Amino acid sequence: MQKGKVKKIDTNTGGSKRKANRDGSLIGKILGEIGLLLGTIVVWIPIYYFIIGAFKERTDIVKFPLVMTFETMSFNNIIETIEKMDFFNALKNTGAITLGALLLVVAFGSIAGFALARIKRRGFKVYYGALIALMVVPFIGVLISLIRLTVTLNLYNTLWAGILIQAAWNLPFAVFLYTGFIRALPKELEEAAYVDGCSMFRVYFNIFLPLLAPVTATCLIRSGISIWNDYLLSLTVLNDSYTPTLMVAVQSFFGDRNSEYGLAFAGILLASLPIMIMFIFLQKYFIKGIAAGAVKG
Amino acid sequence: MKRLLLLLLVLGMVIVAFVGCNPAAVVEDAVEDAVDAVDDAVDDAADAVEDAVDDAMEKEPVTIEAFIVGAGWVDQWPEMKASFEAEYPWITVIEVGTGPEEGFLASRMAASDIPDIVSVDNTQVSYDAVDGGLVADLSDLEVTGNIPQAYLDAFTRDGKIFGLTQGAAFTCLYVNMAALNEAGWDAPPANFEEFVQVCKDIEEKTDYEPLTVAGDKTTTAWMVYEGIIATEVGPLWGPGGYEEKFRAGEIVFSDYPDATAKFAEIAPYFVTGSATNTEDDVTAAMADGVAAMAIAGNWTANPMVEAIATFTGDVADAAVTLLPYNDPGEQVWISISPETAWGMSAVDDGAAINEARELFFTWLMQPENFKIVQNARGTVPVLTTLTDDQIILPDAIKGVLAPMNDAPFVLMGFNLWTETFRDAACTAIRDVMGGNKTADEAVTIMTDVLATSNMASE
Amino acid sequence: MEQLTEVKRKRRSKFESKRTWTGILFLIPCTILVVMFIVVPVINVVRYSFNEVSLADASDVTFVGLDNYKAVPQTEGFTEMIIATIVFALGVTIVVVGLAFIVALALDKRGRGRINRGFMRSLWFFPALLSAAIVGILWRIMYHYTNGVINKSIQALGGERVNWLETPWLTNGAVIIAAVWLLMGMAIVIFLAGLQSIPTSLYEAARIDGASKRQIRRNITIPMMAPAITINVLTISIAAFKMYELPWFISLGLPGYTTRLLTQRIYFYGFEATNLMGIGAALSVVLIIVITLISLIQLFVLRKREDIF
Repeated sequence: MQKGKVKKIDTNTGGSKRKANRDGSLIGKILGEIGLLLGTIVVWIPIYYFIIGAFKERTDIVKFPLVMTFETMSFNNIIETIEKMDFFNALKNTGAITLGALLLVVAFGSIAGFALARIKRRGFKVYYGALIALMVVPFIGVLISLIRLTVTLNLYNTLWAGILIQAAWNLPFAVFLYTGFIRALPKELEEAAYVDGCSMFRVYFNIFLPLLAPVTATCLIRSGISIWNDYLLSLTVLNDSYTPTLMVAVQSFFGDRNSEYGLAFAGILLASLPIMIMFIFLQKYFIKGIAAGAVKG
Repeated sequence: MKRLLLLLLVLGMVIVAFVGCNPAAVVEDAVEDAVDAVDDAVDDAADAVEDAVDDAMEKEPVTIEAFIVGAGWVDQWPEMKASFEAEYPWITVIEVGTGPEEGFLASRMAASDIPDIVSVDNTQVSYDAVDGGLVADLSDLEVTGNIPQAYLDAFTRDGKIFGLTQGAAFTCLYVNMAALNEAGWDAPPANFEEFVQVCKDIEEKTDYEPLTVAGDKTTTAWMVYEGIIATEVGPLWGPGGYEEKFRAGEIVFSDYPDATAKFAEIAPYFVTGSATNTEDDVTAAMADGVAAMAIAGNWTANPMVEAIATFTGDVADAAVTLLPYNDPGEQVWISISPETAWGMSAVDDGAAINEARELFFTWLMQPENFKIVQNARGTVPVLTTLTDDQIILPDAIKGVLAPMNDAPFVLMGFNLWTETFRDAACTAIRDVMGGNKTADEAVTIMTDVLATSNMASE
Repeated sequence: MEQLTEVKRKRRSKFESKRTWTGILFLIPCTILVVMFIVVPVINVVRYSFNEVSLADASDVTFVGLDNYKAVPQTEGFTEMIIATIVFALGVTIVVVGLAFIVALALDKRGRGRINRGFMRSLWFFPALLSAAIVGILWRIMYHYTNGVINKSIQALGGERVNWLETPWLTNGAVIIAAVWLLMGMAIVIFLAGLQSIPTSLYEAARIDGASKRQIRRNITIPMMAPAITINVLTISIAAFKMYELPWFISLGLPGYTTRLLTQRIYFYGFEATNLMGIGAALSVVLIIVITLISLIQLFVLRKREDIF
């Protein structure tokens, strides 16, 4: 729609192109702006719907889904959900798994990426290719044998299982990011150090580590979102009541009371709140991180 | 940026170090909670209890897991738990796997680590658990004697009793009489002709929609059709015939066009969305006054009656009957089943836990404790030690008990089918309710699938 | 002189081999985790797919050759499952990439619009923060026939309610919309980064040469965006093939099997029809092969068209 408008005005003008372009793009710009704004509103309706729904009683949600007034506002849903979902326990578990796994991903991913980027040997190239190929393995396909593995390792139903498995499944992507990033850094950086007889360890810790901050941010954000939001692993490997994660807690809570929309929305809100708050305060890093991951790759 | 990363990493390490990697701490917390609960109990209880507590304190504290809490009595669980832990202070019971997680038991079994007390059913997963020796044989337990033999038989596999049922289940029609009055009826429909007429009248004369069902749940989706076919073939095959032919995969559903026609006739009257409704959605539909009638299990009697009363403001408006699938002057065949049963883990977790799980199981089956679950759901009681004054059934359901006991019956399909048949049949039935398949097509699919996938063949 | 180079060469090779050993050392922790938790389970699944296995007893394994694979095409609703999976993956990929590209173009006009671009970008990215499980619950409620916000809004505007979850093809659309809503944010941000990496001088040069807006878009923007398009198509299609919980929570695979995906079948055989676990394993192997093939084809085809990357 917008395209057609712009084209039409373009062909109409002929002569002084620069001026015409500016005039044409004014109408196009306004139309584009309105379209964009409408699109944004549509995309935000679900979010608006569940956020206000978390503070409304069921009958209000059904009757006036998109209206919020102070008279109908209530915190009952939130209070009841926190209590029945055992929110703080679930938050603690999800937090521990996310942070623990991120730590491993960053630590192991960065050194592996460093080795793969800087050593030009056939074996390393093959290894890199194989690791990247593992990114396509669907998690759901290996669940049963993964459960058995955690039992063999005596990790079943412990947070360690969550941490290690999440770290492993996020490592290929992290290595991909780190390798790409380090490859793009100039060789001269470390050559002098090697001539001086530094070991690879020293080079990594003294020269590279400080430079890796941007790619580490990318890695933290990409893997962080996926680990925080995981459902299947937690459902099958961490399924006793000591270790439910937020997503499993919401899902099983919702299953019991799924016509209680207010409670469901409160659960949804609470489970995503920490990551939403993180995003609101660290928007710049989130966007930059994700963009960097793609372009450098 | 650097400071931010550092902060995150340090935070991570601290949390991982303190909480994450120390499951023992979690257990300790749980034990501490338990001890607190015990302290409270000691304060409140009479001397007799205090003595028991003193004895008990000498025991090593243990924690057992229970996977028994169903949606119907999730709100009663805290009361049960507190009451048991007050009596046996060294035992902490933790509920696991609440919510509708079909996969829960399966994933626990893959780990060969099933909960101490566990819900079992006539499903493939439960059979695998029994075959794999994960579920205990309950034959020698004292409480087993309090369950009628027929219900024990339903949960016997290779001579092992693997579960004690919570109650008897059958299908009911819940009716909002205020809606029926509005449509010109003063009694619930008594046969199929009336049933269809009521649906028609409600659609034409009132703002209600006629009928709803919890299609999301396989049992409830299946029972829409099962009552029809049972009433059709029951008189032909006699008691036990249906079950035998079903298990052997010999039922040709498409050979009974009258039954198919009945199914086709009621299908259009279901509220749109019934195919994916959960039982909670159905209750809500009655409470909102969306639907006038609901086909639902007797196990949701209490919430259903309550929902109708919520909408009309009068409990007397809630009526319950057997599903009126019979032709005028003939008797309806109902499908009946033992409810989900409770079993016990056979995995050896050490003497203390083995003893604790048996104590809890026995405690659970005592009438004064069992009645809490019983009355929350309003099921038909099977525990013979329950006395009449311990059973509080809603008035509406009491009226249906006598006809239920008199009616000829078949065993509900989910005791007889394979998972493959369940999946195919329920999908087909949901499609008929949603208007995406004709009853004929659905019946053909069921016939074909049953022929290849049945108890005898798998 | 000759001796000196010989020494140098030796020293260098010694240095190289030391570096290689350190490199291997650096790879060890990563390798342990990945082998243990990805490679071993995958090998196990492949093994299961040639055997009859029992859920309760891991040691109870009987070799049955290709029987599980042969049984796959005969499973109930197999054709529908293939169609549903392809429709879903293809639909999600096309809509996400197309829509994200348009939105990214609209958001790219740096600083000239009246609305803060950074803020708008964050708004569009926001849904990507949510969990697929949660988005499934949310959209299921939104699509509810009587109580959902979508039908309520349609009614308020004077329209007829739509049966989102029980109408063939429409339900595929409904599930795809929810998945698009979740996956779009990431794609937009990646496209935006791609757009912003195109040097402004290129546009200026083209404009001076008298190129029209359309020509600029076709000859500069799209070719320069090739790497971003590759990345997006690849990641979105892999994500769509792997997706399980979101479509399941919304549609239960209904109507019929038309929205039942391959992943949901795998779950069915792994956790419900557990006597047929071998078939589930065979399906998993098929899924792994399909995703690998599709990724390879995409890399090959899309890479060929671009000069950079």
